Amino acid sequence: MFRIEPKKSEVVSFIVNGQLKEVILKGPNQTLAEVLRIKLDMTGTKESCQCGECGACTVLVEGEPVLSCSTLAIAVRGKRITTIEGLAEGGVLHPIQQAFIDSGASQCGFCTPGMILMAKVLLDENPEPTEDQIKEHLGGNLCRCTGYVKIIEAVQLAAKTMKSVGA
Amino acid sequence: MGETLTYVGKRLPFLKNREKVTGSVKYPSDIQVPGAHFGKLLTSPHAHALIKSIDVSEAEKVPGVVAIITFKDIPQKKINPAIVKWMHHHPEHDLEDMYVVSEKARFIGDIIGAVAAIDEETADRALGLIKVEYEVLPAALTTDEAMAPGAPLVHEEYGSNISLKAGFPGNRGDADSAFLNADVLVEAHVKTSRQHVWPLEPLTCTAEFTYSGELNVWTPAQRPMTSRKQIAELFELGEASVNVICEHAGGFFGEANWSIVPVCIALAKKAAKPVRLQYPPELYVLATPSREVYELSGKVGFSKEGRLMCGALDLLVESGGYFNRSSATTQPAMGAFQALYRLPVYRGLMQAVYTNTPTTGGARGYGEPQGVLLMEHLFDLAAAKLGKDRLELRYQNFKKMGEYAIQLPMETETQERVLRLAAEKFGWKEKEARPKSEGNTRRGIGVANYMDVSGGQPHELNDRHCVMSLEEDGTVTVTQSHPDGGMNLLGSCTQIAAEVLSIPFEHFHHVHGCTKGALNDMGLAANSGLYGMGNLYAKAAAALKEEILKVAARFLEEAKENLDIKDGVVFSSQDPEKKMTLREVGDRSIYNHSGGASHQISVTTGFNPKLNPAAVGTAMADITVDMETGEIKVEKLLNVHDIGRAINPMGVEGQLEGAMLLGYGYALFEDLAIDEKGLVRANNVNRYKMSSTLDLPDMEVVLFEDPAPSGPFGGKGVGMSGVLGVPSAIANALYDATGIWLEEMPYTPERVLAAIKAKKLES
Ligand code: FES
Ligand code: FES
Repeated sequence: MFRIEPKKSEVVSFIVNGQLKEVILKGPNQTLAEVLRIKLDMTGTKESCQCGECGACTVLVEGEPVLSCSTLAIAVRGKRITTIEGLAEGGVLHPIQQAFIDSGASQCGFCTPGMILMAKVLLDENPEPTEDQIKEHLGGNLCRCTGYVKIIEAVQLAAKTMKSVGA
Repeated sequence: MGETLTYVGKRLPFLKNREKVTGSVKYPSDIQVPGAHFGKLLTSPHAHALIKSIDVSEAEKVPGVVAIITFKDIPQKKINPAIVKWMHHHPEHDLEDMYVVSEKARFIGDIIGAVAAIDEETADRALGLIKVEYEVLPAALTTDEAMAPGAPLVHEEYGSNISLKAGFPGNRGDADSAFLNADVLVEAHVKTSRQHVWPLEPLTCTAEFTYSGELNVWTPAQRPMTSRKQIAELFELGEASVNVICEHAGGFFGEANWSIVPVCIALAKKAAKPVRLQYPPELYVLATPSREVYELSGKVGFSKEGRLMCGALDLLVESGGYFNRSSATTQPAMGAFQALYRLPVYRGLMQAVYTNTPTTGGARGYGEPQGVLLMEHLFDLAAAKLGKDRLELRYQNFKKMGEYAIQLPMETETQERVLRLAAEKFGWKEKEARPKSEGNTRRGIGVANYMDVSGGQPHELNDRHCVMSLEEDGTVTVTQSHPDGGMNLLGSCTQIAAEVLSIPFEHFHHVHGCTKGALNDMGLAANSGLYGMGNLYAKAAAALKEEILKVAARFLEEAKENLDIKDGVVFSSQDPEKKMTLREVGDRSIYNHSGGASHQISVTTGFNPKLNPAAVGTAMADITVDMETGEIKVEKLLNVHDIGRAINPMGVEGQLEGAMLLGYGYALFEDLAIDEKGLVRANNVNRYKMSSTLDLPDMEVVLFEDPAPSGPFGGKGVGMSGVLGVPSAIANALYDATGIWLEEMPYTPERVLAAIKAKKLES
């Protein structure tokens, strides 16, 4: 007969896209990616390599990019987390999201959430990046579909629109 | 229709992109079926071993384990997980040599069992308790070892590691005597590398039997209907009881990934519970086939005037542990070698060899880049021997209208114009005139032309069906089984249908990526999407328009001939009073209270391609070679592609850019790197180099348009094409710079440097 063995579980809370979330962890080793995707059913955060090399799982913690596959959930307790689900406001897309659409920068879309969040970090810090700065900044985010050309164009376009709307 | 097009040719946003940029699209790997158990795979640590016994008794005792499968628990039927036999006209060439889990270990990573349990930790514990007794056998790790006398047999039943020998269906003339008559003979060899196309989405399968005995399967399926067929056959289910679901997938670059599916289903069946199985990254590249791996020897003969007279291609496919696509990719490879230039005498021969290494399969390009690589290099060699200009020799030998493209007649003659345009955009003449040496680097430029297909016909069935209906709100719903794998195929097809119907692009709904409720369709492969699906949508839209006008004619009491649709309104060309919106037509035809039956306007349409317009293109590369380090730096990559007509130019460019970068990585660094024990060294992204923005060369895409008569609005295929010319253009540029032709890919600095030293070259 199967018996439930009491496990040492931890409760952590953080603020995800402005909402307070409280989660019972399976154990101290549970990653942020797993918590977001499975516990909170926020599957906009993607997981691919699970080893910190592809950038698909990028989320923002206090505005800084973090690879959620390689970050323990307990390590970000009490912090503010932004995922791709939190970028559009009131049904209006963020200018970077819109730029990805307008430039055709998202094909299968699997790298897109990570790319967009990374781009946001760049444009928040540096509203007029050069092409080389964009390449440098996105160097850890792999995309297998686009050949990156249109992703770079999208970031340039977003920089322009953000500047003109003063976003 | 005139030439004023409203939707076709426009850079419209890709379908479902709003969902993609907000992370709300669901991929198979995002699906959490309530109550799904966790599957884990047991794989072989040995390259070649008999399984003397497997004892699962301890593992079964672990609380929370719901199923363990080994060889004795699975259908005792061999399959080929490439699932291509259903559409091939020579299914006997697609050897079925694999069980759901193996009875014998044929490579490191071969699946020999699986566990399902309530969670990952429990599954892991159970896996650790399975006792396998192996008898380790000598392994054949290379094709040379596998073909040596007395080699260990990977599959005993064939009596040899050579499983298949076959000629190209388009072989013609007597090559051996033609070679004797040729004035100039050139030959070249190359062994291609193990690129893994590695889509970003991890490969998962979730399988669930319903209480009514139906089966739901969520997995990235490039050909959902064929997956359904194979599942039904293997598990003895009715096809209609199997529902394969894949609305979106995180990248399709040659479906190679089916093997996880039957394991997952077998687990779900035994457990009588839903099971989710995922390849962990380090197993993914072992258990899914890589790009096709070839050893190629090509030879061509020219007359002294520079006329191509005869050619031969010998192609050895290294299958690895299982046959997979060892036949399927060689047809395009042998085809690509002889496609573009007039070649009166040709002999293509393939043979497939098993080795104790992970299975190779087929990837974006599907054998064609390798065929192009060899032929285009032979042209450069011949040009040098004949004292001719590289481009001139190519112009001289292009096929002309009235000749066959690959296997079906050419529909447009664009090769020469495409190459001329490429030379102009690239600045070929100016670049060629530059000095070759500069400090410790050398410069070179290379060209490669290709002729690609718009589908697998005539070798494959490429039939498709859809249902297109007018809704009561005046919008149109299209139902078919295709998943969205990122090519924006459904978007392009919608542009076509919107154009034909003159209904706004935004007024289309799509039911897709699910076999249930969809009509049969052979799925996506071989550049077939735009040509096949585009024609299907054009045909269905025309039929739907007919039906709409018929019904509207009744409502408006106007002759149908006088009616047309513009921007979603049916109007009479004779009487401005007589018009009604599609909403009115749709609604009234269903809620028809004034007598007569309710009738939703809907058409069922099929398309069976009989032609195959060739998509031709030219790639050019400008490189420098560091003579001290052997490093190749690509300064410029250009690809001009004849798309017939770009339905959505932004989409076509994106297809080419992505494929070009795949070709670039294939040429320069992507390789699974199998070591002398048969172990894949580069088994995750931290060890397998893929192009990032930091590697990105200066890439330029130029679209060339000359509508193909049989294409939808003249459109042709493109999905694979960008991979075809790039590796070859880089290889030819290396040859131009240094005279080095590497017989092994990829062209890493170590290999280039070794060749520089062997040739005693200086900068
Ligand atoms: S999944 Fe986290 S970096 Fe790849
Ligand atoms: S769009 Fe598919 S991986 Fe980037």
